[in-house]
Amino acid sequence: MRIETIYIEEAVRAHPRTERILSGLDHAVRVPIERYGEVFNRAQQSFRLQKKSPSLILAQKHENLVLPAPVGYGIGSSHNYYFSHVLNCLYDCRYCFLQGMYRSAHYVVFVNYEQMQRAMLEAVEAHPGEDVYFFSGYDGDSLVLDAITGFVDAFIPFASQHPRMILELRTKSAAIRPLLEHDPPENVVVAFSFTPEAARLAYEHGVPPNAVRIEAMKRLADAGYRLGLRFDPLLYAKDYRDHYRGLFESVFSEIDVSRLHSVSYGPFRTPRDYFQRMRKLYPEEKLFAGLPQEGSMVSYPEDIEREMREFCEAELARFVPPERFFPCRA
Amino acid sequence: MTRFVVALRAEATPLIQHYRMLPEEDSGRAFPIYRSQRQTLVIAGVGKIRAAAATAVLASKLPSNASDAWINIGIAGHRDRPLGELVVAHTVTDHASGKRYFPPRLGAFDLTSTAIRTVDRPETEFEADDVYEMEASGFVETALRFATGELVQCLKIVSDNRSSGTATITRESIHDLVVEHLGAVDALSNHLEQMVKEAPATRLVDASVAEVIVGARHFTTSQKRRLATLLLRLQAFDPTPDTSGCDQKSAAELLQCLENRVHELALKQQGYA
Ligand code: SF4
Repeated sequence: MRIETIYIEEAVRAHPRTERILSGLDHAVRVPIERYGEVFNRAQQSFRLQKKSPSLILAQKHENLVLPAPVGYGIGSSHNYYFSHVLNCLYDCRYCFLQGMYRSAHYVVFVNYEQMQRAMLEAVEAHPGEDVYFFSGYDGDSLVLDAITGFVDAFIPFASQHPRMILELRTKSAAIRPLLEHDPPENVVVAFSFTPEAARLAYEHGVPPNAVRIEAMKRLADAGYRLGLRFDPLLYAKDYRDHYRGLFESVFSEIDVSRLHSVSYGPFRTPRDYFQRMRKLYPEEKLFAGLPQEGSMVSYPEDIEREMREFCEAELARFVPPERFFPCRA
Repeated sequence: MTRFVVALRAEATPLIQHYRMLPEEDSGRAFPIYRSQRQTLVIAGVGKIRAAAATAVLASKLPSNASDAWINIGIAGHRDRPLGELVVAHTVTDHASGKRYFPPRLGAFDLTSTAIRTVDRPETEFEADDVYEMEASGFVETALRFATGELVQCLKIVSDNRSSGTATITRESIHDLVVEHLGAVDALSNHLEQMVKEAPATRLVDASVAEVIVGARHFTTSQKRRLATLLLRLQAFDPTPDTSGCDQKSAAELLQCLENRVHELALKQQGYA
């Protein structure tokens, strides 16, 4: 990845995190802007064209620093929030809802982490005596842009000081070096999302091979990190049973289940208007062709979805103890 | 295809010759249009209003395709950039209104990029560190009605600065400045066209297929939309979808039949490939 252009909000130009990010990207053209909305998500932009060469936008997040997580996103807890230090992703998963949500593929990094952290603490304080979950990786992979964002160095030490805060970093990346440089806090879960290797090859452009990520998980486990497994989204193929069986076997033959904090799966779900935009970007995509559009959410036909859920639940039960398994009920 | 919008004939001539463009008959005298197989060009005259009008005329005379690249080329001034320097705009500011546009940069063009300021009168003070000219904002605002922002770009060649004012600019010097940069213009145009090829715009349903299916039935607008979607889905599995057996009487029945057909195909054919 080579960033050619960096748009910088005037308000964060002198922010130390901005300075640090810019110092690593000397070659890029710097363009001052007032607010990131001047550049990001404007009408007449093509996500698919921009995805070929996204720019970086350094901005400040003013509101909604921490938001209640969508239903079905949690793993058994009742207080679930998500936050986004970054919008968009280096990877290019064909099923990713971001391409339907945004018109721009530029990476937006909100550099005011300290304000996000204050908002997280407020949410923790709102639930005295209880664990509060925070999910990162909703609007873009948590780790893949870490060389730019420095997210791990800012949030792992922070989480370690606040044990009631359970921080889940959701990722498809194998770039775990920044994590290995910290003592693993008990309240941090690094959750890896997987689809079968053939689906990764077909749909998850840029995502490292499953074997590489399984290896990364092992190293994190050896270092003492708690891990999560997210089989999300479940993707249909006529021979999906063989593929998912193979996936579960390759993961659980390598990963020590006692290091797992949680295992969950999630059926494919995308809001209908996002889906329509996604399909417009790739009208020839078979993955989309198999998805009927009824109601406000697009998902597989009920019979297919039920069958896949039942199959995956039964298969996962062979490996995962019930107290660590969180089937999606959304 | 690349569409060029230029203010002056002296800017246009090197492009017309380079791309072997011919005058478009009946383009009228207000905004002469030229074309070759892969390029078209309109001469707008000076100023953002003319640039906007000429851009719209070019789009309507030769109906534009969403994958066309639009490039505005012209001379410009800057306080101290050297004469003859070519720049591409990363920001276009309309000086009068303050409105700004940020033409996205796709990949590494081997060009200096900078802020461009569109003014209503020739500039001599150069207060901001911007490249000053008189057309870009009108061009960009209008071209964005016909193309996605990534394909709308402004190239400017420095023709005057604080030590060499506009008095020395001649038709010949403008011609020479453009000739000097034809290679870079080519490169940008090819780059944009290549990008579009790799990320093609929406494929449309073959209208004749839809017509045969619709036949004499009455389809509401939303049913027509659903039919187009279903045909696209069918075509993803089979480029020449077999819709026989779906000749039910009503539009609603027919749509349901096609929906079932897609479902069957997906069940049988969907693989990870
Ligand atoms: S890794 Fe996640 S956020 Fe990134 S493209 Fe894939 S689905 Fe989207």
